Amino acid sequence: MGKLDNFDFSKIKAYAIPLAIILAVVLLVPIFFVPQITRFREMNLELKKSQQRLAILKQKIVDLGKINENEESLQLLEAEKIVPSDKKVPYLLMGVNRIANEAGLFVSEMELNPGKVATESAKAATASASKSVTEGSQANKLPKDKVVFRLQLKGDLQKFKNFLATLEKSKRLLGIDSIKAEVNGDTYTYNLNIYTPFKTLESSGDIVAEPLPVFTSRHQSIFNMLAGFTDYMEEVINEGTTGNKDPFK
Amino acid sequence: MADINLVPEVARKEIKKTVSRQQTANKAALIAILVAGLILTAFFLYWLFIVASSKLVSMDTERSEGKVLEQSRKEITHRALVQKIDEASKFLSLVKPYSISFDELMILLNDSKSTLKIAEVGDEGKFKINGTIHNSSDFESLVEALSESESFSDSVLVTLDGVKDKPYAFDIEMKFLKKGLPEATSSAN
Repeated sequence: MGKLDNFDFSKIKAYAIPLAIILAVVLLVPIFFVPQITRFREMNLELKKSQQRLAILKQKIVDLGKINENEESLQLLEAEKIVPSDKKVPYLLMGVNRIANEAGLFVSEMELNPGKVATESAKAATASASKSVTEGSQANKLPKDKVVFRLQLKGDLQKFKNFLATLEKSKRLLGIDSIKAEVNGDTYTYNLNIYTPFKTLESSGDIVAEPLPVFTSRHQSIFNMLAGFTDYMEEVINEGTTGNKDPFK
Repeated sequence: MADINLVPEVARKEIKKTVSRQQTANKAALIAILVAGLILTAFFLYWLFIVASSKLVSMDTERSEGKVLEQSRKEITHRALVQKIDEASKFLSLVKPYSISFDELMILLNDSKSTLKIAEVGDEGKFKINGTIHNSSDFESLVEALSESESFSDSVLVTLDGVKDKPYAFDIEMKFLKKGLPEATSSAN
């Protein structure tokens, strides 16, 4: 106790204020500075993102300025015949019928959205699995971006070959999934699964700041090639007689 | 009157030392305050810079968005056109040119004097043909032609049935290799 009585507290008093200040500054670092640095980093990142988005927008304005709207509208009309925006089933069936007739084949059956022409082994496999498959799940399996249909044709092999060649030159893209050709006496019967794609405009996310897709020379050459194909799906409108005074006669 | 030093030499030194220590501590505290102040000022200036930049960018972005939206019809046309050509390109690269396969098959069958009974084409160009042929030498020429064909590969003879005075019946499985329309591949190059 005697020692404590003799202790000079004025010494501590003299150092107290500077020490408290230094301690406060040292404590400021984890309490205030570090969170601020994290906040600034986030703000900076956000700013950089905004700047990048702005750069994309500015580039997009330049790119949009280069587009010839009239020319592209005409090209789109033509592309619509190649890959339409919807199924356009009546024109499709009419067109395929036209191709078959031009090749000299007889269309005996047409069925929309069939299953595949099953082989014997496939039939056996599906028979065992069919019990567990519900109608709903079958509907889900139907392709959403293409029309599939079955076609039955009759005629000789040469004509069928011509039909295939014409199909491949159709402006509306037509592909074949499967073929089954069978001879019945003198004529062949062909069962085909044909598919044709269609495409609706897709967009997702930040559409405004999404960069414009580039229409390359490859796009142009594919377009030119396909534009040269024959359009079998075109609408045929019968012109009525003109010059009638009484349209009901 | 002469100066009289009343403090002893040792005590004077001690006082000087104490005062010097206190001064150093005060200086350190002052420097710490100054450094903290400087950092705070830097932080404030940087915050000001970020806020001002963000405001400028957002104003510029708003103006640019307006310009883009003004031309939205042009953009929709362009996007639709490119997407459709891309879809067509995808289709052309995957489609099987079956006219070529049937053309070649007909030539092979005619050359070997065989008759096609059934032809099945399935997934990934899997070809299955069933037909009849008059003699073994014709069959040999058919097999040879198939093995030399550039369009077909992996030919496998599944069955070959021969009954006296009747043509041979055969089943052959093979793969049709070609993919994509010839026009499409040449235009892509």
